[in-house]
Amino acid sequence: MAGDGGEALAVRIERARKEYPIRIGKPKRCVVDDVSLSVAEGTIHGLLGPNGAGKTTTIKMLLGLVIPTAGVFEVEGIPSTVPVGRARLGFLPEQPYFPQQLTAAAALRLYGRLVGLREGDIRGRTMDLLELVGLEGKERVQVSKFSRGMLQRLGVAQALLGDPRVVVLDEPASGLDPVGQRDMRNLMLGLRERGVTVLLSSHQLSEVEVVCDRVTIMNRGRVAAEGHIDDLLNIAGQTSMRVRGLQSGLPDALEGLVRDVAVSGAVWVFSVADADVRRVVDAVDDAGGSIVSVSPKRESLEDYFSRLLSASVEGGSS
Amino acid sequence: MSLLRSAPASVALAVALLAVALFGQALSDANPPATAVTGTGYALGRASFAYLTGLRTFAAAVLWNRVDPVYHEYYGEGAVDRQRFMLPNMRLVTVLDPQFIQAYYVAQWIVVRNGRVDEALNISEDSVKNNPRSGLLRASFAQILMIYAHRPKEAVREADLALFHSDWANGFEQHDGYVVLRSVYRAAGRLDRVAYLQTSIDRLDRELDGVTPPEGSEESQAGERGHTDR
Amino acid sequence: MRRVYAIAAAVVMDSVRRKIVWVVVLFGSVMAVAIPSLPSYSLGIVQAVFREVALALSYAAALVVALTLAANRIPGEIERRTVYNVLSKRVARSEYVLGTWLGIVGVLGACIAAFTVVNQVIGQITYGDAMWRLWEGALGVWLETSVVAAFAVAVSTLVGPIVVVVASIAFVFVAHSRAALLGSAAPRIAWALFPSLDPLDVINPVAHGNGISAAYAGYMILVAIGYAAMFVLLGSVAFRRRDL
Repeated sequence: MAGDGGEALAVRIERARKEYPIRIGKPKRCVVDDVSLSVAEGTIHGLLGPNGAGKTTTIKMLLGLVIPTAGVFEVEGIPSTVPVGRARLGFLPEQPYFPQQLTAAAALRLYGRLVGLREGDIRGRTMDLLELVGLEGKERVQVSKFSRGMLQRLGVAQALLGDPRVVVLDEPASGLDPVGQRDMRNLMLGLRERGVTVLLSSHQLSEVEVVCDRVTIMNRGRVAAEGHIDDLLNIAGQTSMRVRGLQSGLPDALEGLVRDVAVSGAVWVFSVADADVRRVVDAVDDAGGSIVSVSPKRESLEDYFSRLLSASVEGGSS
Repeated sequence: MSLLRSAPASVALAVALLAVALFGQALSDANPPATAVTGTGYALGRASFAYLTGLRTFAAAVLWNRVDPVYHEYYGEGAVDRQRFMLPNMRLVTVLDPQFIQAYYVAQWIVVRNGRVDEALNISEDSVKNNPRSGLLRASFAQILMIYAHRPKEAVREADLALFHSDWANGFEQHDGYVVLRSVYRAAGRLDRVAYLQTSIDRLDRELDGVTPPEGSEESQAGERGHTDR
Repeated sequence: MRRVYAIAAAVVMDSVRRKIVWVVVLFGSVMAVAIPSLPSYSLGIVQAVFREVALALSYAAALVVALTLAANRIPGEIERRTVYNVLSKRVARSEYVLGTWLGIVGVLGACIAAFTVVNQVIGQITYGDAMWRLWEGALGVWLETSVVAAFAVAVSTLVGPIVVVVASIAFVFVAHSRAALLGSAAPRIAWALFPSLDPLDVINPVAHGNGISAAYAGYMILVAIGYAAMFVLLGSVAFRRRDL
């Protein structure tokens, strides 16, 4: 299964649709409408959107937990709506729950059997995963005594039990402290290094911006934007420059060429049209200043997200 | 389990399984066990009734245990009017367990000793209706009829039933009952019966000589065998 | 089948945790011990009456256990969202339903076996008779409550516990009402096609008669497997169409 760029696809969702009947005689409520999503192998793909956008429903359709009204759902080329298609799939639900009477080890033993691990391998794999997620020494503790963060870590462990090739994480940082969030980030990056594909649904935009290669942004059941992070966030035709050493302020030669000027201490930050970069560099040099950095101008994912959703609201209301 | 994805296949399989069950059903109908199969409901109903009856009689026994210490005081020269408060409890005991002989026995005597002869007779009639084979209750009924109601013919009839058609809890009860019957017959002028009873009483005396009365019995409480007329 | 057994084992472990199972087993055992002291309703608690009350008690207790487990298992897992960890893996919904039912059947078997042992001990102590025939009655009780559990599990894939319990009790009632509903004048085909659990009710033959033959036991097993498998199948089909 290959994407447009010829890369192998780990996850393919095409024209997904989910409708719920409301009442007889009334039109059905469409919560996911014509959503398509492709995730290349070995990448981390973010799925973003406000509450009620349809992210979780889309993920659940992929996992066979919700029956799709229409659409194609494949994991490594095999339909994931049938059990065999989920053989190499791991899933961390949002706020995972476990049978309360089990210990951590017993819970993983149960799920290990479900993913087909041999009895002889389950214990070793259990201990390895508990150590990986920071729960070493907790194998005999009852799940009922776990904190929210510990349950989250255990959820990650059970998602990784079957050595999956694709991992779906729904709000993985939920309930984790900053250290835990960092660990989760490193875990995802580690999975990518090993060639595991990660589909990440999260509200933590800063986290998504750091780890994701591509994102799909959903709003009101539809795809609002999709693409590589850099392509989405980089502002086309603009360059950001940082300059120091301008003792007398910005030289006159820069008048009209620079925008969004900010100064902090001795460092000046401003944006320049790509075509004017050389002229600005020469003007700074002539004024006795020095260039600290030149890079494509980029807005934060948060700003992009907010701008996108505001536009869709205005477009809907106009 | 791909069969389940096809609706017609699922329906066909369900029908096939139903056919298997109905086939087994037909075989069992054609070859029933030698003893007729009874509905589960009947067995459950009978068992429930047995347990409810058990609960009922258990409740009666618990209630009686509350009045029993005071009841025994009756024989220890306790004032009769102090016994009156036990009557509602005793009534409840007989309602819960109509076969609770002691409750009838004591209640009728408390009532009659308080001057309520008709009421005592009603209790006695109820008692023998629910326990027709109780020698103790028949003898007591006969005694009340003779001494308090002054109805010798009916007293003799009850005494005959006690003597010839009744059962006794133990030898001690039978001995004391015969003593009571002897006094009834003597008051009615039936000396033939008196002579017969004397023989039986003498025999019982010999048989029970040296035997310890059952624990909690009147005999053990009174500390002597042989009962004086009340 | 490994996945099915893993799910069944999880059901058994969860049942061990549930106080209701222990309470029912303990209470039932105490009531069984009390049987010989019950006031008689015929000619005393003779052995036949003891067997009848003991088996009726086993049936009632097993029914409580079956309904408690079956009505709460799947709805509870869905409500607590613990089902996501299972069904997001390579586990078919039919495997999940089958595993749940098998686990309940296992628990029922253990409870009924425990009751039967207690009854045998009481019988041996009170009447000097180990009453091995009680196991024939126990088989009937186990098979019937397994069918009821299958029905309850199937219904629980769609509705909540209270509706499951009410529906299951209605099912038991109807399944034992063939004679009352059809009457002796009904055509034979109606008798043959009316689904009934009467073949599984062997309390009377075991208690008051000579028990059941091996062939009859085979018929009972056929009836139980047919109905139970049908309900598990229907439950699986219904569950496949449910959004979680």
